[in-house]
Parts: sequence; structure tokens; C-alpha cells
Amino acid sequence: MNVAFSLYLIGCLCLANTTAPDEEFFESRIRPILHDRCIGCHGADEQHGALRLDSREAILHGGESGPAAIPGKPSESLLINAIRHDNAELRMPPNDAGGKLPDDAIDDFTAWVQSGLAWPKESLPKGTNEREVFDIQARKDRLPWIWAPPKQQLVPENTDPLVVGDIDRFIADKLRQNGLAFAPPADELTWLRRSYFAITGLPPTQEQIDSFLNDASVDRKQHAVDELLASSHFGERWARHWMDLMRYAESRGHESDFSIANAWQYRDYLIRAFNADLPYDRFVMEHIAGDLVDARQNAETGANESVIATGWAFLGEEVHSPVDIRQDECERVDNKIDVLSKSFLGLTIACARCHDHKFDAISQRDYYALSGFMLGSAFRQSRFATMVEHRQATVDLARLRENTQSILKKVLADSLQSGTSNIAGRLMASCRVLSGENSRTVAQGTGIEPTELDAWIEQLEKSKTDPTNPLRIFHDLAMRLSKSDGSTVRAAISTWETPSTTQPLGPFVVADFTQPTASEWWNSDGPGFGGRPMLEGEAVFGSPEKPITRIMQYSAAVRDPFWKPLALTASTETDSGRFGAVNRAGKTLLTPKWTLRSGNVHILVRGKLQSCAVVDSHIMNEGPLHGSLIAHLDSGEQLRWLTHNLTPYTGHRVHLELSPLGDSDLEILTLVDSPTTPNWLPQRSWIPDTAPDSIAELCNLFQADSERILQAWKSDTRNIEPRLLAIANWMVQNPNLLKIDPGTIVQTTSDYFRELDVISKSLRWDSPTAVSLADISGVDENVLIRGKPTRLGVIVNRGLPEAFGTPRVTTRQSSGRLELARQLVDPTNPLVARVMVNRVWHHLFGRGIVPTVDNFGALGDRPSHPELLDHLAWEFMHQENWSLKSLIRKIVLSKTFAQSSRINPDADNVDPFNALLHRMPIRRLEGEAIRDSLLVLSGRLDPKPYGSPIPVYLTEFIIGRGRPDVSGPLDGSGRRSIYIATRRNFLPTMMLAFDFPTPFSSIGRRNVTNVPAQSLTMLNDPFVREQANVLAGRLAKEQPNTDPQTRIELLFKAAYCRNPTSEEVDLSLQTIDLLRTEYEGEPDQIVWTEFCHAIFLANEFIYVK
Amino acid sequence: MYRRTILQKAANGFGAMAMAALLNQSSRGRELADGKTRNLLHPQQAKSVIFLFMEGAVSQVDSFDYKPMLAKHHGENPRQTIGKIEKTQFENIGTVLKSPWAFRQRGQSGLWVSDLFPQIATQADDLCVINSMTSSFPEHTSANYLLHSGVGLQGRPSMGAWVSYGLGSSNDNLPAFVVLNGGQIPSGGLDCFGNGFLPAVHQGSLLNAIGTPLANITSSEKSPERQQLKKQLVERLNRLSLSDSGGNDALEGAIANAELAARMQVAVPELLDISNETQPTQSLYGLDAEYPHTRVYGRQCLSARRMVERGVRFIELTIPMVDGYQRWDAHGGLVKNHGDNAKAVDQPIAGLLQDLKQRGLLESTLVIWAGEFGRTPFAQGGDGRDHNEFGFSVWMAGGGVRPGIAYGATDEWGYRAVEKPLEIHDLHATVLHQLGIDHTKLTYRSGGRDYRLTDVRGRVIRDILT
Repeated sequence: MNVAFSLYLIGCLCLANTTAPDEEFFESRIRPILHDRCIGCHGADEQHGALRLDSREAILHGGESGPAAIPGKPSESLLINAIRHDNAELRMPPNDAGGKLPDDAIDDFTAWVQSGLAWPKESLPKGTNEREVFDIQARKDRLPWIWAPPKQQLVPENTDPLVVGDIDRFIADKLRQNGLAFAPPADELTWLRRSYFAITGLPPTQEQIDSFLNDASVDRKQHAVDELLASSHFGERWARHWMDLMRYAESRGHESDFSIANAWQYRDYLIRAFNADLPYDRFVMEHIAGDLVDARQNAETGANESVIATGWAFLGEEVHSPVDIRQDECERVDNKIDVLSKSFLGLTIACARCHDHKFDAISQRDYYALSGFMLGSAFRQSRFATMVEHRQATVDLARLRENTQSILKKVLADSLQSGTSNIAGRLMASCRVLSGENSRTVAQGTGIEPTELDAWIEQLEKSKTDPTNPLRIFHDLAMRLSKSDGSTVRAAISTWETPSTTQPLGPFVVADFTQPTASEWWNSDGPGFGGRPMLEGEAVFGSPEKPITRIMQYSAAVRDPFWKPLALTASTETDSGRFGAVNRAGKTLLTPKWTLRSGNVHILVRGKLQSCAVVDSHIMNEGPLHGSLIAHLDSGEQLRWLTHNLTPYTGHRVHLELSPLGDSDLEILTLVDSPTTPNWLPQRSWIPDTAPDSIAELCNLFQADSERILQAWKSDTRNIEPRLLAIANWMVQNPNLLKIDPGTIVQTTSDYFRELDVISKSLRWDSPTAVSLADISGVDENVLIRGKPTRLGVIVNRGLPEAFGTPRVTTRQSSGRLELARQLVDPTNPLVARVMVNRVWHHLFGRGIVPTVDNFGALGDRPSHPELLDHLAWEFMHQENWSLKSLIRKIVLSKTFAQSSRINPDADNVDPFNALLHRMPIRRLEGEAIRDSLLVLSGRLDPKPYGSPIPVYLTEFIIGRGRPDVSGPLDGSGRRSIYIATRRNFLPTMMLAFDFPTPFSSIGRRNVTNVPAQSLTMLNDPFVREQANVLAGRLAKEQPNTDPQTRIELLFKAAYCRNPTSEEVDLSLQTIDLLRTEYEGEPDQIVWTEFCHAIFLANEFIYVK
Repeated sequence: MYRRTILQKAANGFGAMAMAALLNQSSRGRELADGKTRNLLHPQQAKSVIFLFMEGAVSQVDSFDYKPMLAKHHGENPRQTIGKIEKTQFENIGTVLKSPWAFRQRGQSGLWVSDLFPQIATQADDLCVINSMTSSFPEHTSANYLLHSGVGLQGRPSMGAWVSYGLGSSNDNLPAFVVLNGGQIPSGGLDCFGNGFLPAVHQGSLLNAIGTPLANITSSEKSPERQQLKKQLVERLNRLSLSDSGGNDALEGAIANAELAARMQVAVPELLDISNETQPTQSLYGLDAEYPHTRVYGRQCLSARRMVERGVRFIELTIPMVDGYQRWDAHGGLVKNHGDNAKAVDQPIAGLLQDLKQRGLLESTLVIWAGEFGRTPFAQGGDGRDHNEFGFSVWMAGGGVRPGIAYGATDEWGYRAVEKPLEIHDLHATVLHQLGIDHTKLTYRSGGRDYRLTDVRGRVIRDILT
């Protein structure tokens, strides 16, 4: 019986086979509707009106209004009443949940109730209001093998002296149990061609064949395999396998197929990683948390390799202007979970988005536990080439500044000693002049030089427009000097105490860089903001001529001018859409994630910035909607509150990414989500700590405070009282007034500037960027009831599915991906190693030990050789240091892999699908390998590795919106197929014909089909024809005088890796003759072009025996 | 020997190819492979489908959904008149906009059709108009994917691919699923016609109505004899390697495949060669029309009929690239946009219906006319209409659907489907049903899950079936 058609399937929900006709009616007509339209509110998760509709018992028991149905009496049944929408008070499903059912559904329900509510026997949810318990252990017990870590295995005995390897013993054992034996070994050239395609995806060249044949040692197969594994083409072959899992593409598909800028850096990362035999556990770590682990640096360039691995997360489809942005996020997260769970765990967890998995030990909570890791992370273009050295430089710079600062402050304190000793007198004198006394008289009376006095008076005048100037109070009081008794002074001071200095920021502070805690959650992409907030009291360095520009009066995130020259390497692509309009890489500050409350985000800022609001992690911002997510704000020279209006997104999750615009300075202090703009400003003028009785006393207090600052600087106390910061800043701003010796300062800082120059010159300032994950903050997702973002269930902590038994992640500071990565590669994880070993086996034999390579769960196939898989996985982890090359070497050098592929009818009867590997399978090459083979044969192959993709050659069949402007060359510049552009909506026709997988989710096992488009491609595609011509030209050039037979032999060797039989030579010679007759009068090369084409057309060219 | 027996049993051709393709891949496919008729769990009403895809979304209130209230309240604020207005793609909501085209009752049935489609209107008695269709997405690409594949995401098999998978082709030399391209590849690109996780043989074969019909279909040699010379050698070499393999069925399948490709080189150009169609037939399809886009679409429609005659299962027509327009997507300039697009398709579609009928093919051919959603009854800006997924019109004809009826209804504004609202899944279920396929049983396992065209939804719209 036809299994596919006898199973009644609703998505993941498989219902039992039913026999009774009434039950069949229920299963086909009633249950789907109950499931789709009713259970959401009347099921295990929710019981509106205390009613459940997920069992017959529950329906008969009913809810708050009584029994929902009475068997045989539809007209008296509330359920029928409700679905008819007859009664205005009771209309189900309600209009906001899809509205009335179709008429025929209502008729079905009526008939069903009439006939007695048939419902098949099944285990029922217990009790009307009890939640069904998802029994994790019971689920695990269904497939205990996949949930237990691989164990070391006993290798089966074998007395055959030729069966010595572990793999062969396991295989031989199963064959023997089934009355089978190994097929005879394939001849060595067949093995060679097989191994070449398996390991590098390329055929052996003439020279490589000869070198193999000339190797007289018994180990020549090992030599060949070692050479292949060491070839840089190995990485190209195996990276492509992995790219199928990561649904790799360089564009976002959907309507206009916008680019994923620099996606190809990820492809190059993979090639390097496979070539370097990066241990697979590390490879997984880098994919999940490459931005959080200690960077693995490229030995040649020093680039951060690890971070590039995280780019996989963003290689999926993206919608440019989704109306429902949150729903769209759910789809994107779903895709990431699907890729992650299939690729690394061989499980389909995305299935549990709407309900517990129907078969596997995966609950709906597990799905949302994984969602959190994605929701706490964001997209960025990371400056991977420079990030390690720039991070180090930031540390060096901070240390340098700290050292210089403490020396400088001491020098400054000494230098200010005399200037501050008589500040009080000068202030008092200036006040007197301002109050009307004659300046000359005052100068004479106090003994102050008239020019100096004038300078002080000028200072006071200036202060009246500057609220932060500590002298402002004196100017104010000087005007009322005649009445300056104690109460007047105190009254004046009280007006200076602006209420805003103590005013809280309002209902919700998103980020506050003025607080000492800011460095704990500080999150920046790159060095642009110097690696930490600038703290109040810190000196800000300027140029060698003006070494100190100011003393920070508040803490803030400040753009570090040192890093202004950060640039992008010329070929770097920019993100499409509005997010790509400003180069933000390396100079972006990220806030934690929060849920938008008022929707108005007020940013206290000085300078010009771009604020990118990443709402629901939406980044593909192009099209009519969502333009307001990006705001360009400019405060001018002043510190100001500016507002990013996000009110349409109230209630959505968001984080902000803030970057400077252009070359301007930028400081960011505080971000507040509030309906009104705060009036708080951190700038303070000076206020005495005790109430003075007169101006004279106030002047003395000022002088005392000035001296206090010098004391602090001398004793290397950075934290002078906040109250004094205005004076400190005023002092460094007015060196002349306070008689600071400029020479001393310049001299003291000269080392600093020299050192700065050395660092600057040592750095690489330009970097390409790669798509990467950024870590934002810990987000725990709600279970979304039936997968709907509008229906929130319980919150679940982040973690692997419960069945793994790993601890939950609760950190708030980070997405928690680092913890996730560690849990994945822990040797006790039952699936990660097994799944990968099985993938390698699949690629080498065309069939995995578990044939469903992406699904080890209940809907997948069972392993043919579970002990062998465990054995290999155990050795992979515990003995081979997760080395893929070791694993591949072991398999390719096995007797199993060396078998002939010739069909043995008897064995075929016992093992028709060759699951036991009684022979090698014959396999068709992938599209890439076919195209690459053509290039190898014709000699056109350009072995150059890496780099930006070669544009697709556009035919009239590669069409649609967003079609690339430029067509690539017909032969892709001779580059291997992995380097041809992978644009989602414009995949090369040849690849599509040969089962190139649609990049939408993980495809670990490609389809292998046999369709006419493939034959037509080989027959008529201009590229194939061109390569035949190039090959014929090569023959003419390299073998100008050889006889046809030699040429035929050469071609057979190049194309099929063997010598032709005499029959084949005869056939070929006949064909050459016929072609010569047909093409009489035309150049001989045409004959050979045609013959070469025929060589391509024969099946042996695209099949591997 | 089960697997080999099947392969030997299957004839060389597209029907067989579908199965041979599956043999390599899927154990479920093997169980599917032993006969197409097994899939037909009930009698087949339609043997072929012609899907006239009106990309960009035709306005229902200007074509098949007559709403006099719009004229009455023309120019009023829709928030006051209609009530709650949902978010739209462009959020540029104008006033209530009456249709610039007059509506009339047509034929015996009295179906309402506007003057936008004067020729289709003459065939009203054959139409089964559904006025209560809904979509789940208000933007083109996702809605296109939904309409084509039942899921608003890229990468799922198209309806035609499912039909190909379910039924195979009944012509050995032509694929089961053909897309005749008039020039306007929909948003979402060729993936609207993709095979998704199904084997590549089920992919929509894109035939160009103008120019080279199919990728690599044109023989690259100057004469068939020249190709033949090579093919003789190739066939001999293939036989030798087949016997050397011990009779491997993958190699055997590949040999059959090459033979099929050779036959297609003849069959496809013949299919699209309409020179032997009579002058009256060509006129019927508008091939002598003045408007060039009418001639393109006429050619497509005529070719569609020829494919039906040759047993192609699922034929989809994309619309011609009418100058200056983003398809039916009339965000502004409704009159010119819809007017020009209608001018291109009206006569050819009417001609197709008549021609199918007079040749007795309409009964066994299900013609579907649908856009991905509808348009708002109120204006976008001054003279356009925005996207509206809450209620719109599609129609079917032939293939066992009831002629001359209107099913379901939108509210009095033509805004939301209120009476018998349908989902795209229901349309899919019904189409499969008419082809003799139970939509709940046509499944394919991929990545550990069984997939259906209708996902977990879909109901056959029995009320519209004869």
C-alpha cells in the first residue's frame, strides 16, 4: 500500500490510521477545522470560557455555558449554534479569528453532531482544564539512540587478512549477516577518479594520472589521498557542501533580490577553514559565537577569521518592506532555527513553532528557547581584517592616555600653583570693577596689573552667556554688589541650583553613559568610540600644540578622534537600502534591546549622528515603509536632547545603533524612551559647598576649591568631586589667565603624541567587512501560542532543547550564544559529532549511514550501521581532534570505498538500495563538478581561489525583477563554480538543471534527478560547446602532429580517466571519419570540436563509477 | 528487483522521467511510482489547468465585484464611510474611489462584469466568479509565493510542480508544467514556478512566447545530421558503459533522458509554431490586434490551447510587459494602468475560452484567472488603489466548475470578504480536487517533514463544482 497516501498528514501532525467511516469523516472534515480554527482558544494552551474542544469527552463536558454538543441533537448544541453565527452573543470563530466557517464546514459539523460525534480512540488529554504534559522522557525513549552520546564501540572481528580497517570490519560484518560480501575492488584508475571527485570535485589531469601510475610504492593510494587533502581545491569542494546547509546566497531574494553585501567573505572563510582542517568543534563554535570567542587569526593577514563564520545567520531571504514587521521577524528567526537545528543537530526544531513536535522530544518551549539566542543578536558588517589589531590598539591607547594623564595632571598642578594662589583677590577685584568702581583705582588698590585685571574682567563678561562657566555666579553677583550681604548671595546661589541636576530622567532610561555602570553594558562595534565611555574628570587630549582641550565634566560615549581615519577597503560592498547609506562599520554604538514604550527615543547628544532603530531585527530597509527607522540627528555645537520618533513601533522590540555622521565629533550621553523630552542636562556650573556670607567669602571658597583640584591632580586622584569639574575644565581652558607655562605642558605631552603617531602608523586603517552577528543583550522569548506573535505565552529561558539536559542560559548582558556554542561541542552532546560524521559519509558514498542527513528524528530514516557511526563519531571527538581530513582519509582509503560499482544481480536482490554497501554506488556529478570538469579538460580552468563573485552569465531565461545590470562572461572567467555569483533569483540555468538546491533552508542531501534539461544543457548550451572548442584548440596546439588514435586516447584519459577499449577506439575513428566527410572543406579543428563535444555528451563524463 | 521493474515498466518520456527522477532520491517516490492512476482517488474533472496569472493585482471593484456604494460615497473619507481601515503597503490613504468603468449584467447568467473587460464579459456565462478570495500578505512577493506555492516564502514547490509531481505529464515529449512567459516575470522571480524540494523535473519549464522558446532547445548544429553523427557515437559509448556497469539503472535512465531531449528539440518548436492555425482562429485570439501586447498575450493563449491538446498538465501564463507599468499594480493612474493591461489580455482570454469551448476542450480544462490580491476601494493618493488582501475576485472556467455563478461576497464596499470568505489554500485544494487529487494526500517528505501544497489548511469549495 502506498504509505505516502495512506498517512493523513497535517503538517507535522500525523493522525492514526482510521477505519470506521464516521471516524474517517471526522478525520477529514472535522478534525482539521477543530485543529485550525478552534483549538487555539479551546485547547491545551488556552481554554476560553473554560471550554476545550480537543477531545470528545471535553466537548460533551463543555465549558462555562454547559455542554458544547449533545449527540444526535445539533439544533440543541451550543457548538453548532455558535458556528452558525445565528446568535449575536455567541459567534464562533469570532470575526477577529477568521470569522465564520464556510457553509459546507458548518454542514459537516452539523452532520457530525447528528451522527453522534464520532472520534477515534486515542490517548486523551486528562481532565478538562489540565494541561497536557509533554513527556520528554517518553519521547526520548522512542529513539534512545539519538539521545545518548556516541560510545566507544567494539570493532567486529574479521579473520580475512584483507579486511583490517575498522570501517571495513563494520561493513563486512553487516554484509556477512545478510549473506553478502564485498564486491571486488574497482580498478585503480576508477578509484582514482572517484577519489578526485570525492575530495576536490575535480577530475585528475593527465599529469596527475601519470604521477599516480608512476608511483611504484605500495602506498600510492595513500600518497594520492594525502596530496588531494592537501590541495587547496579540497576546501572549495567541501565548502560548497556546507554552503548547501547554510542556504548560501549573495542576495536576499524576494522582490528585488537585493545584495547581501560581502556575503562571499563567508564562502572564503569556509574554504580556508576546510583547507586548514579547522577542528569541527571549533568550526561550530565559530559559527555560533565567532564574535564572542577568542579570535582565531589568519596566519598571514592577522584578520579575525572566527567572526566571519557568524555570517551564516544572515544568508537567508529577507523582505524589504514588510507591512507586519514582527511577523516578518518570526519568519526570519524561524529560518535561522531551521538552519541551525538541521545543520548542527540533525533535528527539525522549526516544526515546533506552533505546537509541540508530534513525534520527537521537542516541545514548543524548546523552539522559543532557541529563538532567544537569535533575538539577542543583531546584524553588522564587521571589520574582520583589522578588528584584532584595532582592539589591541584601543587597549594600548587607553593605557598610554592614562599614564600620560596622571603625569600631565601633576605637571599641570605644579604649573597652576602660582596662578591659583591669588584667584580670590582677582575675582573680588573684577567684581568690584563690574559693579561700577573705576578699574584703575581698583588695580592700584589691589596691586594687580591693569592688563591682568582687564583679562579677568573679560572672563567674567564672557561667562554670562555660558551656563557652564564657573565664573558666571560672580558676574551675576557683581551687578548687585552694593547689596551683597549674606542673604543676597545665598539667594543668588540658590537660583544656580537648577532643579534639573537632580531630576531623574523619567520613566525609562534606555542607556545612560553618564553613569559609572555604563562600562558594564558598553557595546560597540569597533574602536570608533574608544572602547569605553570617557569618564568625568578625564582630560581630553587634543593636538601637540594644544595638548589638552578640556576636562570631561560628565561621563559620555565620545567619538575618539584617533579613529576617524577608519576606512573601507576599496572593493567592499555596502549594504543595500537605507541601512547601507552610511558606513557604520567600526564606529557604532549599540544599546541593549528593549520593548518600545512611548516610542519617542530622546538622545542627549552633542554632534551629528545616525540613529538606526533596529525594530524586530529588521535591517533590509528599502521601499515605502519603515524609512523612519533611520534618523539623522544634529545637535550643532551644543549638548541637546534630540528625538528619534518611533511611535509607530510602540510595543515592538528594538535596539539602537548610533554612529557618527561624517567627520564630526560626537558625544552621546543618555537615551530615554519617554513621551516628553527630559530637561535634565549634566553640565554644571560651580557652586560652593558652604553658604558664604559675602562675595569676598565666595571668592575665597572658589580659590579653596581650585586648590583642592590641584591637590587631587597632584595625588593622582582622578575622581575630583563632580562639583569642581567646571572649575577644572575652566582652568585648562584658560592657561594664560592662570599663568600656566605652555612649554612645560607641550613638553610633557610630546612623548604621548610621538607614541600616538607610532601606533597610528603601525595600524592598517582600511578593512573589508563581512556579514556577522553582533551580540546585543539577553532576550528570552515568550512562547507564541500557535506561533502567532500577537498571542504571548510563558517566557522561556534560552537553551538547547530540554531533551539535551543542558543548563539554561540566563545572562542579561549577552545573547548567550557563547554558552550555546559550548554546549553544542561538548563531547556529551549526542548529535553534533554524529551528524557531521554522517554528512561526510553521505558525501563520499552518496548515502548517509542515516540517509536523512538533516533529520535523525522520528520522521527520518534509521541508521544502517549505527555502531559504525558511533565508532567514527567517538574517534572523531576523542582521538582525531574533530579532524575532517582524518575522517575523510580513513573512509577514502577503506576497502569499502575501493569496491567496484558493477552491479551484482544476486546482491542487488538482497540489498536493492545498496544500504549495506555491497558495492560502490554509481553517482552523477553535481552541476558544479560537471562545469569544473569541462574547464579542467579544456585547460581553461583558472585555479585562482577566493574573491568577489563572478557575475552570472545572463541568458534570456535568467530574468525577473532585480536582474543584475551586468552579465558575466560565458565561461565565468574559467573560475570554479563556487566562485560564480549565487543570486537567489538569478541562479545559473545549468546549475538549476543539475539540481542546485534552492537556497531557502538547509539541504544536506541534494536531489539527484535525471531530466531532459540536463541532456539539453550538455547538447546545446553555448558554454559546453565553447569548452569543446577550447579543448579542440588545445589539442591542435599541444598535439599538432599526433595521429587521431593518440588524440582519442588522450581525450578518454582526460574525460574518463582510463584508456579506451579497442572497440571504443574503432568507434571513435569511424566517427572522426564521418565528421571529416560532413565538415569537408572546413578546418580540422571543427571535427575535433565535434568529437570533444561527443566525449562530453557520453554518460561516463558526468557519472562516477 | 522492485526498483528496476518499475523503471523498466515506465515508458520513456516525461511521465517516466518524473518517476525515474524520484527513484534516485526518495523511498516514498518509489512507492508513488508504480502508476499515475493510483493517485486519482476520485474521478478527474480536469485534465489540464491554464493559470492566467494577473500579476500586480487587478482591482476587484473595477472588474468583477460591483459596488454601487462607492459611487454613492465617492470622495468621502473612508475612515468615516467604510470604518476601520487596515494598514496598507503605502499608507497613503485617499478618499473613497468609485470605479471609472461601468458595470453591467451579462449574458443569461446576469453576472456583473465591468466594461474594463468587454470581451471577457461576453463569456460571462462560462465564468465562475469568486468574490470572496483573501490573501495573507499585502505585498507582492510574499503574496505571489502564497498564491503559487501555498506558503509566503521562497523555495516551496509551485502549484504546477505539485500537479506535475502528482500526475506526471501525459505527453512523453513535453514537461507537465510549462510557464509561457509574456515578459513580466512576477515579483519573487522564477521561484514562483520552482520545484522547491521536489525533484527538478517538476520545475516549471519557462517557454518564451517570443524569441527562443526554451533554454538550450535550439540544436547547436547547423543540421540534424551533424548532431546525429555525434549522437550515434554517444549512444554506442553509453551502451558500452551501461553494460560495463552491469546494467546500472541510473545510466539506463540517462540514456532514455538523452533520447527524450532529442525529441523535445522537435516537439517544443512545433508546439509554439502557430503558422498552421487558421486566420479566424488567430483573429479570435487577437493576433491581428493593433496593440502589440494583445498580440503577445494572444500568442500565449493560443499556445496554451495547443499545449492542452498535447496533454501538458499545468500551463501558466505571465502577462506581457505593458509599457511603463509595473503590471496591474495601479498605485496611481488607475484608468491608464488597468485600461492598458486589460487591452492586452481581454481579447486573448475571451478568445481562449471560446476556442476551448468550440473544440470541446473547456470541459476538461480548468482555466483560472487570478491576481495575488485585490486593491483598495478607496484611493491611494488621488487616482490609484493600494493593495488589499482582505477580499478580492478571482474566476475559474471549465474543468468541472459551475458556469455563470458568483460565489461569496465582500462587504458593501468591496473591501473585506464577509460572505463565504476563502483562502488561497481553498483554491489550491479545489484545483487539485478537479484534477482528481486529494490535496491532503499529495505529500512529499523533505528535511524530516511531510509537506503539502495546502500546508495544514485548504478545503475544496464544493459549492462551485458541477
